[in-house]
Amino acid sequence: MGRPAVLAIGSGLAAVTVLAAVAMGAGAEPGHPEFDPDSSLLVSTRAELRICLDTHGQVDADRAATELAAATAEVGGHPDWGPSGYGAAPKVERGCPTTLPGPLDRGTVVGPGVTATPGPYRTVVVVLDGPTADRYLADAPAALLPYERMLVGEHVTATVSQAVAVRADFLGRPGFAADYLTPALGLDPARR
Amino acid sequence: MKDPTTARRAGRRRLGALAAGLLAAAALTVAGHPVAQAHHAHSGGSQPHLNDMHTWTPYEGIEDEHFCVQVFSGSTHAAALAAVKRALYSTGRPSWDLATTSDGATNARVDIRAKPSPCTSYPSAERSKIDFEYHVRSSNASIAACAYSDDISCVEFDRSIRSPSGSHYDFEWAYVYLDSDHLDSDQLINHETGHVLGLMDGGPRGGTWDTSCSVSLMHLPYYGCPNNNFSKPTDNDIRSVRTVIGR
Repeated sequence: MGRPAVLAIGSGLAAVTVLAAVAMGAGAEPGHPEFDPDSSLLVSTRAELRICLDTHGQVDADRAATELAAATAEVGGHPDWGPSGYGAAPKVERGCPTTLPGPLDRGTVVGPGVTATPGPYRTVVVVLDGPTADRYLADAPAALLPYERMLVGEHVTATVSQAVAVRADFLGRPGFAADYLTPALGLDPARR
Repeated sequence: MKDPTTARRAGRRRLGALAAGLLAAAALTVAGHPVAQAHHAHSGGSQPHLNDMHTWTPYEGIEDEHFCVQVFSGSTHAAALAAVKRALYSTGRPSWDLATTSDGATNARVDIRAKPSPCTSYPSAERSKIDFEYHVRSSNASIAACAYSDDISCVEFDRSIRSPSGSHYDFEWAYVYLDSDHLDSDQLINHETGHVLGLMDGGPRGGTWDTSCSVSLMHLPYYGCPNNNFSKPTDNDIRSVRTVIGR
């Protein structure tokens, strides 16, 4: 058997091995994230509601976390909170980097965008100080934006992690919980 | 979805298809078959769709499916709006309007209505009530759902919300990213609109488990169904939308 033939067979075996490993991995490994519209958490690998906080500009992060926790507790009174499978109001976590690519118009992605491996956070709250908010939100107190999306068809994606960008001085007001955090958690504001 | 009739971009289309195929293959491998789980079996299962499809009023109101058009490049607002309205309203009513079918107003939960001005001209509070937007560009190479490819149109869903029945989570907003070269194709405009209403691709090359060539605007020649050169939704498509509504 000549060297080219050996190389060809070797390459073929390697390819088959790789394909088999990929096929087995794709089919057998548990815990692959899948889009799950039957769950309020939207991703099959999420087990509980988790909310993340990120800040831009001169924002008191501890105060923002406290105000966000209070707003979350307020949304906890929504009639669909329990039926959505949400338990006790989650604590506010950190560690979800966000970007501000330009004016935060409807549809502007502030996170990783399309991904096959979305993170654990159903909702990401982005708190902006006054000058930053003036620059990116214009006159709006807050905006609902995509953070992570999953491919659900060849050319179709769905947001599975919802961000809400908010002015720091609006975070503690009732309008934030009612009009922005409620829909950011997948709950209908009209039913509150 | 790509325009199979545009010959002058054939080379770039092939590259786009390759990129889309690689993206789909990567998604299949890495994400645990999300494409394979995207049913066009009309079960309403994991088909993302607009939340407002589940509700209706006998008069024009927030329960209707309002859309607007925003042109970023490749056309004008007037021309793009006219093209979308031509595709959707050629019979005088929206092709997808269930009121045009025999079961009458009680199932008229899809009632598509055009907003006359560009999307960004509406104040944010008013724009937030517009269910879906057609965004027109000369190329969708900057759009992830379009596989960052030229000559591809695609759909993105945003703002998940609990459905009125509580059985699932659907979406408040959708975006149809239209390549400006697709504005002359009623087929492509209605195909992408079918996605907004919950329908998935199908056919031998449709990327879903439904590989049949059933009579559907979603099972087009591009997906391996050469006889399905429809430009309007078929009765099967309307039935599929009705099933999605019934969830």
